[in-house]
Amino acid sequence: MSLVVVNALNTVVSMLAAQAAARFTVIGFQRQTKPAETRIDNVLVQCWINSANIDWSRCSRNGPKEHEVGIKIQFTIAQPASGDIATLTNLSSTDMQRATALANLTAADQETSAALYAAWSAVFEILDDARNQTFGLAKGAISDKSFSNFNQDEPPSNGGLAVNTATATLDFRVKEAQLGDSGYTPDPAIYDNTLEGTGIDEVVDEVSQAGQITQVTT
Amino acid sequence: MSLRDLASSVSKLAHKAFSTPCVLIAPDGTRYDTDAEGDSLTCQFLSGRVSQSPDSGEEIVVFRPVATFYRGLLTRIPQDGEKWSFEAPLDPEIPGTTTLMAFDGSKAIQGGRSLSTIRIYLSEVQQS
Repeated sequence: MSLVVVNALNTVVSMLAAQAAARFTVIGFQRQTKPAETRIDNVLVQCWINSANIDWSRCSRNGPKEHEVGIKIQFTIAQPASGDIATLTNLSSTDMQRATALANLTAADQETSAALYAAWSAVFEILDDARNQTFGLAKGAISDKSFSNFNQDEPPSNGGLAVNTATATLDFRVKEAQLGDSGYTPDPAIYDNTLEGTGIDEVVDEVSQAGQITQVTT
Repeated sequence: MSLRDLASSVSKLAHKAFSTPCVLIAPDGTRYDTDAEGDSLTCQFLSGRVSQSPDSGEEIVVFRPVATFYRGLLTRIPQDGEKWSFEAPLDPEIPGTTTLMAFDGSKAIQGGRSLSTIRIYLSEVQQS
């Protein structure tokens, strides 16, 4: 039995995957390292639980707990510059044609910003759609759902491909019904009280062999 | 010949000896395949994969091509805001295959400790 917050994350990922329509690729974890080439014309959207705080003012000790959840959604894109390569590499092109091709060359970082905004718009529209208010979970399981921020990072200054990243945070509350774990029943405890070595019995034997018991008087 | 001129000549000779032929196209469309001395235009072309970490902290591996030119051999120096293109074999051991890249004048770094050279950070280009 997973926590509701984990189910909510899985629902967010499958909802985005179902409606991505080739606009982006979504995964439900943080990928370790990303080669930039794999992100050309293909925004990577990574979703993970960034925070899940329990608000004790809204909980009871033995009753349901309320999780304040922040799901981080990260966007990654890499783009080359875009231009008329055929004209620039053609030896029979005139200077004027080459100058026009260079003037119309679109810088790589300009392309990445546009792709990021398109992906962010799509994700916002999907997750904030009125039909997706409960993420397909039981009515009342999710409340106060809203995007709290969208931050675009400073792109690295150089590289064959311009890389750009941005993050958005989706906040909501979920009720966790604490059903209890299946548990583990340990074997019965065994208490071994047998004294070995110089135990009480040995002391009594020693006294009997001595044939007398010294009475200590005070 | 003064010591300064000698150092300059040696530096220029070393640059030419360990360089790759290339072509630059200036913003006005002029195609430069020869240097200021009339020889083939050459640059030291280096590329490698570097790891970049944006503010968010994730790690992205990027191919970073860099071309270094001897400043005194360039007929025209790229200026900030200008769009140029660059053509050279990505792998010098495979003849006849050249790759077109582009750069903005602001990515042509000169001065500092490299007074005699210009280091240009290139961008890959895809057909629009």
